[in-house]
Formats: sequence, structure tokens, C-alpha cells
Amino acid sequence: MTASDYEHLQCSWCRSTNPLGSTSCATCGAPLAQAALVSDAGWRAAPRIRDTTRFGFSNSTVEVEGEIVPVAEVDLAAGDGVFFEAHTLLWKTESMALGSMNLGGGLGRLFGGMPMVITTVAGPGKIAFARDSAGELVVLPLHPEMEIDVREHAFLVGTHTVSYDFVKIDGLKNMLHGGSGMYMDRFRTHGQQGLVMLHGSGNVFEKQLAPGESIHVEPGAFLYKDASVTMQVEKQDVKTSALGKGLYLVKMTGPGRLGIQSMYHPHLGSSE
Amino acid sequence: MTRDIPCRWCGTVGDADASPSCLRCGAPLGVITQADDSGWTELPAVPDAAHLQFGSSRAQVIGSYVPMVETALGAGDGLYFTHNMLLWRDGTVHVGNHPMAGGWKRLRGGLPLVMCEAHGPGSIGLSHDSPGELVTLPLNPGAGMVVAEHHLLAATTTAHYDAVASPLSFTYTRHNGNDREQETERPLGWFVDVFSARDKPALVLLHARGNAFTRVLAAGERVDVNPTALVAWSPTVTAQLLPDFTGSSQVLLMATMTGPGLVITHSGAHGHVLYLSQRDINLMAGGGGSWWS
Repeated sequence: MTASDYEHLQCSWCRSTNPLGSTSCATCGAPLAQAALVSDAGWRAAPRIRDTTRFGFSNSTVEVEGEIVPVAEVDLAAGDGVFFEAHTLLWKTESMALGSMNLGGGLGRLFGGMPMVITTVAGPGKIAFARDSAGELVVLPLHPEMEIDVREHAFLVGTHTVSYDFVKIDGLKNMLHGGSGMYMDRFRTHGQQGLVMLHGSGNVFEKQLAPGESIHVEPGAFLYKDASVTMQVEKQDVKTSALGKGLYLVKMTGPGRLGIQSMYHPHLGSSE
Repeated sequence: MTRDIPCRWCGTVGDADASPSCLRCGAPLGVITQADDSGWTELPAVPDAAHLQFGSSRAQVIGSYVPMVETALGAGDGLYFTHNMLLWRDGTVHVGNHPMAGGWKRLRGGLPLVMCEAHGPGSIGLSHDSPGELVTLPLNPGAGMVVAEHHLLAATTTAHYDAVASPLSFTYTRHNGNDREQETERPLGWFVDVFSARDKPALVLLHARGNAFTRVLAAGERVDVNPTALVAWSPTVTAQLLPDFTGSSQVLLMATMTGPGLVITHSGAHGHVLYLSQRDINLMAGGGGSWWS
């Protein structure tokens, strides 16, 4: 063993270690040569994954293609699988059979504007996904026993080692003015590592909130959070129209990560 | 020893060793911008994480796609903006309503009736809702700019704001059966925003969809622009809307911009085309439009 066998490059986004000489993280695809860009207020820019970057999970490989509306092309190995919302599917190889995840609460999802069915597919084969807006692919490797919440219609694909659930947003005010609808997607890992890929519109920024630390966020900008981060809608002392319709912001309180997107369409609660 | 370089966008002299970008407008220092053969210059993009300063406040531009402007507001400084620009704020930042005049004309013109005003101390993040570039307009006392609707990201409270009737309107006559009707086209809406600095310098931040380009017109020099490509122009520039006949049922309405002054355009234009019958086109070409009068 030489000293260089112990040296490695740590990814500034997901903290995974990579062999010296790597140009992008093998776990999340983030460029390794660039230091994380952190704003004065502590927002960390999600890494812009370079065109044709590859990274992996289990025995499978993901290749990111395109930088305006990026595509995640997954080369699924036998025994591996992914799940997704059907309308994000771009193409797949012929041999792959699609299935569906058994979800409860179908009526609730219907009323909540969420897809009734989450689609699954197993390897071997190739399959590609994209969302329908200009933005960034956000790769979130999940360590065992992690739990994250994602706004609806933002998740692109999850791996078979991640369990999917959806949680009802507490409180009528949060539901009506929170900008995230009635439900959020919840992703959870158990004994194994997993990977979730999201699509953020525009640029994506992440902030680590300390215990008890709070920040007010436009509900439409919220993208994801650790399940430990609490959200509470608060009406601001601002009129947004002649009729006095109010402006609502979500107070996010740590501990945990909070992700936002810079391009959003104002939600019903604050629109004129 | 400092390496003082004048900013090629706003003219402010800055120390390139202390900050690689101009602290007044965010443009990269020392970068040579060259006009293309037609006289247009691509706006120097504000580098990721560049800082700007105004009053006792410090802003940072972050994100290259839909850039976010994060501002640490000093005590006594303020920004105003429409509520849909707000991304986040610290709990210490107070957001209230910005006083606005002309409610009825704003309502009629489809402009937001109210704007928000934020005061420090504390930080606030703002962004627009489309991919594009930040355009910074530092205004010295006495200076002003005309801005097309819905491009404002934020302005310092030292910037005076008014909405005035858009000069880019075109009235023409068209047939409706045997009757003739007057129609008016306003590709930029009823009003344009006018920002000016009075006794103190001001900063106006705009969002251009796609890439932004600038052109300085000499006195009497004219360029015809797709009106929806206009972002802003100097008050000294004369703007007029004129039809351009294509020989088919299509009539393009073009903004003719006549110098002297600065014109800023963006590539995210959506076009403004009229589809008329040959009879209406003949009527327009024969003097049925206001440009002949």
C-alpha cells in the first residue's frame, strides 16, 4: 500500500469519496474539480452536471445528457429497478416491461392532483427520463435510514432500494397556501443506500438549517427538504392585489437540508 | 497598488484585483466586449457569485440559468419588486407594500397593482420566472431608463418609478363585414415603466429572457426591432411602431428606435404578427393606419 492508496477526492455535493484523478463523482455526477459555490447567505448551488457525465447505483449506470432540459439515461442492470411518474418517460428499450407500484390512497391522490400510479421498471435494459422545463437535474444519494420530502411533480426517478410514500400536508392553511398541493412525495431508505433524482426549474440551491433556524421561502420555490425540517405557512403583511389578497411564505425550520428552485410560477395563494 | 479598470458597461472605475467584477453593476472587469458587424454587443454576463454594492447593502448574483439576486440589505436601504420575484427572506427583513400611484390605469394596463418593498437589516433572495440574464442599470442622479413591462426584478428605493403610456401602439382600420372598425395593437402593453434617479444614485435590476444585447444609436440612427425583443431604452431614443408588409396576409409590426441613446434587447422575444385580409392590408397601406397621419 502506498500513501496515494489512502488519498481520495471528496465530492462537495454528496460527500462521497472518489479515487484520485476522477473528474466527476461516481455517486452523484457532480464535477469534482470545482469547489461548491456558496452564497453569502449560505445557499449552496447544486452542481451543474456536465453533459455525458456518468455515475452509478448498485450495478447500474446513469448518464446525464443535455444541459438545458437534462435527460437521465439509466442503463439498468439485471436485478436493479427504478420507479417514476409515467409522463417523465422519454424512451426505453423494447425488452423492458413496465409495472406499477401498489399505492394506497388513490382517491386522495386523484383529488391532490398527483398521478394515480407510480410506474416501475426492472433491468436489464436502458430507459431515459426528463421533466418538461428548463432546469437542473438534482441527484440526491440517500444513505441508509434517510427520509426526504419533495414537492409534487418534481421527482424524476428513484431507485429500487428507496421506498416511496406520499404524505399529506398538515393544516388547511398549509394545504391551501403552501404551494405544494395536498401531498408531498416522501422517499425513505432502510438498510441500503438509494438514489433519488429530481428536476428543479431554473437553478437549484440548498441550505443546511441548524436546529431551530428558520427561513421564509416562497412556496413555489420549495423543492425538497429533509423530513426533519418543518414547514408552516405564514401570511405576510403585504397586499398583492386591489382586493387585498395576501402573500404567503413558508417558514422552514431546521434541522436539515432545504432545497429551492429559482424559477417557479406563483401559486394560487399569492397570485393576483 | 491597485489595478483600476473602467467597467465597460457602467463606466465605474474598479480595482480588478479586489473584485473581478464591477461592484456597481456586476459586469466582469477587463473583459473586452466587441460589437458584431451589425453594431450589437452581447451584454457582459454577470459572473456567477459576483457582488454588487449600493448604499450600505451588498448583493450577490448566483446561478447562471435563472439567476438569483441575494441581497444583504443594510439598515436604511430598501428594494421594491413585484411579489412574484420573491424567493426567500430572512425573518429580520420586513416586507410591506410599496406605495404606488395610478391604480386605475395600472389595472387597465394589466400591470401589478401593488408592489412589495423590503427593508433590512437582513438578506432576501429574488429571481424571475424564466431562463435568462440579469441586466443591471446603475443610474446616476438625473439619469433614467424606459423599461418594457414585466422585466423588472427589483429596484432600490432611491429609484423613482412611473408607468407611462407606451409609445409602441398602432391604430389601424379593418373591415368587419361592411363596417369598418378601429383596432389598436400594443405589443408591449398599455404602459412602459420609467425609472429615474433624482437626488441619489439608484440601481435597477432587470431580467432579460435568453441573452441580452445592447446597441448605442447615434443621433438620427435608426434600427427596427421586434417590439417583444425590447427590454429597455434611453429616454432620448424615439420609439415608434410601424407595419412591415411581407407580401402575404402577414403584417409584422416593428418598433423603430431612433437615436441618440442606448437600446437593450433580448433573444427571448415571441414576435408580434397581424394576420389580415388583402382588403385590410390595402386599406392599411393606403393610409388606414395611424402611421400615415
